[in-house]
Amino acid sequence: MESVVHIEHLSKVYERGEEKSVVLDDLTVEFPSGQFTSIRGRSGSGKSTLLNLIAGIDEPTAGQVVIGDNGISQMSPRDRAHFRRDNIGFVFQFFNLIPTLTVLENVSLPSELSGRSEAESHERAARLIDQVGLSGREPDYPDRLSGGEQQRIAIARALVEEPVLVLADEPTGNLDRITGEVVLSMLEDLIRERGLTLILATHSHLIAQSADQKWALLDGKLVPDDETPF
Amino acid sequence: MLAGLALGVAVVTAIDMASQSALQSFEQSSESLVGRTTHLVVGGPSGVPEELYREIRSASGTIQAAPVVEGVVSTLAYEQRPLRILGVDLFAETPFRDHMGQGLAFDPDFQRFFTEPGMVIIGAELAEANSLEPGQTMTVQVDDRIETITILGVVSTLVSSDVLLMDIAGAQELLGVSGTLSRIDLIASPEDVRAIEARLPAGLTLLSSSEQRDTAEQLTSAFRLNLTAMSLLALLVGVFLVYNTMTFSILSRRRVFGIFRALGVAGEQIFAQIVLEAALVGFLGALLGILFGVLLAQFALALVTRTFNDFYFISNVDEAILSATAVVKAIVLGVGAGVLASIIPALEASRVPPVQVLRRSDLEQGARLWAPRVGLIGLAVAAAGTILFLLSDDSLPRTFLGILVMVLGLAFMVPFATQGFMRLFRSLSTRIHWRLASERQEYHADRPGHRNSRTKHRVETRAERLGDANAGAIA
Repeated sequence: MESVVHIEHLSKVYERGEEKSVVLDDLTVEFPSGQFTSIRGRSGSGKSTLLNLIAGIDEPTAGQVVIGDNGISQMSPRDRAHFRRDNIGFVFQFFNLIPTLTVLENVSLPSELSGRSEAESHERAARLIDQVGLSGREPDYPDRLSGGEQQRIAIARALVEEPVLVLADEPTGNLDRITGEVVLSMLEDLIRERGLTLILATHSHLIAQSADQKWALLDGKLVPDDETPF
Repeated sequence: MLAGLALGVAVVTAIDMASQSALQSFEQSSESLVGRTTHLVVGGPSGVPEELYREIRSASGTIQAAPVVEGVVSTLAYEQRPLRILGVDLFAETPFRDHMGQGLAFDPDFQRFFTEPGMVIIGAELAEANSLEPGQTMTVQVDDRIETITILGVVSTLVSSDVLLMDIAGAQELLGVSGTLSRIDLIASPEDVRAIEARLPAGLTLLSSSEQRDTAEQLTSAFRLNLTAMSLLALLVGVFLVYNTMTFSILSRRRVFGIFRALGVAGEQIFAQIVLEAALVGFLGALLGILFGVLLAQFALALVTRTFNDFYFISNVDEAILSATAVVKAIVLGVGAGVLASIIPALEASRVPPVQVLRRSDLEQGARLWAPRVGLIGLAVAAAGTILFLLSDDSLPRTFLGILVMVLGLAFMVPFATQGFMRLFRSLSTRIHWRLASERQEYHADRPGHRNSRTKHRVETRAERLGDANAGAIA
């Protein structure tokens, strides 16, 4: 199966004065196209760091990330930003919706940033909002929504431009169990419907169960996930 | 944010308007009073003897001379406004100054100007401002005497709005300087000037009108410098206000900028957006500030004019004028300071990796690391400013420069001082809250089934958190 994301000798080291903390240690892995891959690990194991490096919102200490035929790590920050805008959807643990924009404006933001007209952007956004079951909430502001609703809007925003790759960093980490299951199920359905590639970071082996490919981050290394609870 | 910007600009504009108006009025008044005079004979505190004027007039037919008596009176009504008495010989004045111009209103018995004491001619501006008409009397204070003067006429082109024109004899009588003159104005050729100078008694000086202007300028130069320094200080305060307002605005939206960058907005776009917004807000703030400044200037003008009158010359100014220079300065301040304030946070939000922009902790950590170093730099700068101030001798520019450097150095020390204050206050606040919480714990400890150890831990934790919150709120 064709791989959409290649990671080669990827490392991330944080330095605080004299202290060095190796978060990711020489990772080499491929994430297949059109598949759901889970990355499981304890809090602080480097899951978010790995996703941030893949998305290009953080810079590696060593190694590279290749998405399709594009070497993310070699790009200039500007090119990386534009690539991310056009090809990657990111779902954050804490939603990261813009508080001063309405639901419709939040979801249509990636489309407008890509250069689409306001009308077209709003139309695409309205479709996604309907698909995540929040039709009618378009004029509301994020603080009027529950946690689960906000995350659904965040998912809609991540998918509105049909990205090649969707990254989800603990998307249910800030939700209760039932809401989290609903959100996760919705995300998985939308991804599979579109044949998109999903890489999801989580600490829960239950959430990782439905993934096509399972990895675990242990001591900075990626190992096959044996589904042992942490 | 706009209010902060507007306040900074308003202060600068008000000071500028007040000082420019006061100085402009003085310059215009001085120029008008000098008129076409080429030279003046002046004396010390006892003035110029009248006889000298007769000698000069009779010595040469080519010299034009005019005697002048000047003094200051205070009106008892009209806000105790100081006015300048200008006593002249109208028959000798014509080559020098054109006082009368267009007389608006005159008592038909104009000869009373020469024959009766206390007769004055006033300018239209003064008449209009105080609803004065010919025939009305004014009570004035001259030194420790109260006198009454009568308005004989109103003219539109009197040399200055704060002048009361009198016949020279009447002025001498009013001011109590009979037999002496304040000066003798001359229109004379260089040869005549040399001849007069050779015959001048001791204690009298012959000045050219440009020399006199220079003397007046020297006298007022310290005042000008003070006003300039006050204006610059207001500018510095304004820049700080604008800078703080803009920086706070950008930092409070830092996370939003991080979200935009995570979604794929390039750093350059963020930078341009922030700077453009700063320029626009700065421009709007400047316009608002100019409006506030015009209002504030009226208050500032009264204070500036009073100081000017008390220490230098009489110069009444009723209205502060907004010049084009002041408008341009205000706009440059608003836009310039706003853009300047936005550059560093804009660079920070646009250049660091997006994940760091999303994390407030990175910024806080960086700030905590830098605060002591910047504080040390500030200490050095403040010390340098202090030394400069102490070594400035009588040099006003060096003194003000020293103060400016001191203020900048102290500003750099603020973050470090705030950290120290927070630590101190946290310590004090924790003790206070712990004491209050302990009293509450003791109350509950008497009740059966009370778990002392768990409660004590809860109380300690809460006291520490309250201490942190209070320290943060005060900082």
